[in-house]
Amino acid sequence: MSRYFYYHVIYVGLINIMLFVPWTLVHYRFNGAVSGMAIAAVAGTFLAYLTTSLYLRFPGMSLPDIVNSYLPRGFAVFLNLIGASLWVVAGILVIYSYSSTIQQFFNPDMNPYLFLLLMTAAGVWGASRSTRSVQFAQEIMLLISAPLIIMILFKAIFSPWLDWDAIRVTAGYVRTPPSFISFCAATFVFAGYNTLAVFNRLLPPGTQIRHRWIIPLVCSFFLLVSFFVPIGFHGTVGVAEYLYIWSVTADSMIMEYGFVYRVLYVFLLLYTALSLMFAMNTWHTAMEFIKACHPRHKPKPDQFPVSPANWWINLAFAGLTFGYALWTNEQRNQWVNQNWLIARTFSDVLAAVILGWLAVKAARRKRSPIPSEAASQDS
Amino acid sequence: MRRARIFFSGFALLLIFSISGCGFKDIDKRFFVVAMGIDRGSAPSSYRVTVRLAIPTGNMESGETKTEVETMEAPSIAEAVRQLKSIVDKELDFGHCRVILFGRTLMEDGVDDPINWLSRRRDIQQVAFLGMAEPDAFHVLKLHPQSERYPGNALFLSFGSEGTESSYTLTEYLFDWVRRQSETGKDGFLPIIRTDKDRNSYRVDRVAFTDKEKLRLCLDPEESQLFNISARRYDKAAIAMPYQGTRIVFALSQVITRVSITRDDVPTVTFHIRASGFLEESPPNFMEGDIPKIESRLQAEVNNRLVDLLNKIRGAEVDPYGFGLHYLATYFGNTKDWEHWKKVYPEVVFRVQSRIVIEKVGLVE
Repeated sequence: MSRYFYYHVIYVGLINIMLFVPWTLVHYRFNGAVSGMAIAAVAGTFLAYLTTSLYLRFPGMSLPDIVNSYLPRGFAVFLNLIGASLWVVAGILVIYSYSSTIQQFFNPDMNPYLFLLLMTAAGVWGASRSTRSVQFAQEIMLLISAPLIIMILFKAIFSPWLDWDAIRVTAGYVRTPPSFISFCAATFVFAGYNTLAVFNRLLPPGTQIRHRWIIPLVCSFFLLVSFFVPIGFHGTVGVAEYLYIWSVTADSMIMEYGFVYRVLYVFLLLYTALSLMFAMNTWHTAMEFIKACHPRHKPKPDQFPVSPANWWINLAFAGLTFGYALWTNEQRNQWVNQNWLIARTFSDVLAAVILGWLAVKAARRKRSPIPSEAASQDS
Repeated sequence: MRRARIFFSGFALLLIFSISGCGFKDIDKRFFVVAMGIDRGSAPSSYRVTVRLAIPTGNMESGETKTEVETMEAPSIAEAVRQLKSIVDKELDFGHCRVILFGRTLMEDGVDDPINWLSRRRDIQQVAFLGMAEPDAFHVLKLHPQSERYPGNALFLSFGSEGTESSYTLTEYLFDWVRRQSETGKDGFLPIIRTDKDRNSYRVDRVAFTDKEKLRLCLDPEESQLFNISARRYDKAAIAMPYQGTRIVFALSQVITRVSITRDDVPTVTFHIRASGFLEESPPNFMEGDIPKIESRLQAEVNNRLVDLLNKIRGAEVDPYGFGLHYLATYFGNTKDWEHWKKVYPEVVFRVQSRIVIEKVGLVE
């Protein structure tokens, strides 16, 4: 069952491009991005091991279920709302930056809200399914995109036009003190484990997540590729000139004998799938956090047909996306992105701390001779 | 449930209606720009933009393709393109523009504005081929070779490895040139495109070097080939030299290069090149002559010619090989090292160590 866990790790690792992670890192490339990345790799791996182990101590429970059953109600609702807002913003940011990328590279004359409408419609439909359906849809989409992912990664790394000298020069700046924002941006690549916040419900009791060394290996690889490959293609100086840094990098590769000449279109196709997957997951997770705020909430990961509440909550998310698109522009979007990356890093640590605390609490309760009321809620 | 289904089918239908309303134009209402040229205009600080437009036709015979060349002068490239749109009947589409040429006079003045325009336009491919046109881009684009099978393809088949693969023709992509224009310790190069004397084909056998601003040096065809071999590791090339009254032509099949730079006050750049291949033309009774002797003669020849070329390029104060960047990469240098390198680059000592391996002697003895 743990393969479902690794699907999350992989697509979250890849979606960093849509959240301006490479852009942020590239901006600090001479001022602590590389050292920030090195620290982030260690911290991200540590948090991943810690958080997954802690979730496995609460078999079949999502993060909202855990806080609801061990914490006072008001505090639990407060935590759930924080969680929901962080997750929903992630989906909104990815949908917005993907639709503006598409508008830039496919058809600038197009009404920007039209594509946003298509993306949010798909996102609402996907996210309002039951947790199990979301997980299965994920597996299918990731398997379909896998050949494209592998092709683009290998094409980029083995391209004769990739300038390894530029990469080496930038890597030499590992000696600069790390910058905080690059650290936060880089830890995002490792953040796939967070989806256990809801998908832990589907892991049967006694599941073990084996081969966790995959997380540092694969995520560090994604992080290095998404930072160093654009530098290799656009040089140590030129790379900072681009906003849609990876779209331009994908456009610098060609398939001479492919049915599509420009790799850019294959890249955009791949990111359609990945962005939709990400939006589906984050909105679904945010929805579950919100639903858990209801006093008589019972988790139903296999519900069919889904409750109308799913639809309404996700439609509200879609409305928020449109509101965000109306309010934002390129500067604001980057500001929101960077602050979201920082907030997310803190919430990761916070989640691990809360889970650790509750795990100790749960262990004490089990040991205590008087059967407490929480034990009945636990089942 | 049923009501929801009806509602969503209606919603999907609505989406379909909205699609027809967006900005797509039919393919027969578009002019595809297959090549584009930018020259200096007749007035000071004006540009002359030439576009070669493909006219879609049904038949695909060589020499039967129809193209149209339009040209326009304006104070800026963007304005010129806007004005070009007013003299054609279809919408200009740059999405298939595979070749971009700069006129020689423009290169001598500096190309900052064209680069700015090219990198801002999202529909210009980053993998478009770049070249410098002599005497100007307009005359090169006006040429209509007989061998074209579809519009403009004679021009872009010259580059890359799709069509002809000539060791004299260097290939430069837009993204590579743009990065070289801003990179520390690496300068740009552009192939020079001329029209052939019989006015029926293009001639791409020379290379031009630019510093961060403008044109600095043009090489002759032999030097261009050597640059292609040494800098781009181009292996479909040949090295020729006289030998005992005849000529030896050594055809390469593999080239490996490595550059090492010392960290002295005045660095020494050692260029290691290992080329293996076979003899395409050799003196008769070659097997009796000894291969090591020919190899060492070839090595001496390559060493001399390459050192001369490197000194010539250094003398023009350009660095298309990227020695500066390699120096920084080797010693993980920072701004201070870069300043030092810039100061000493005109005095850098070049050494070439070549290794020539004759693998086969051809089919005959």
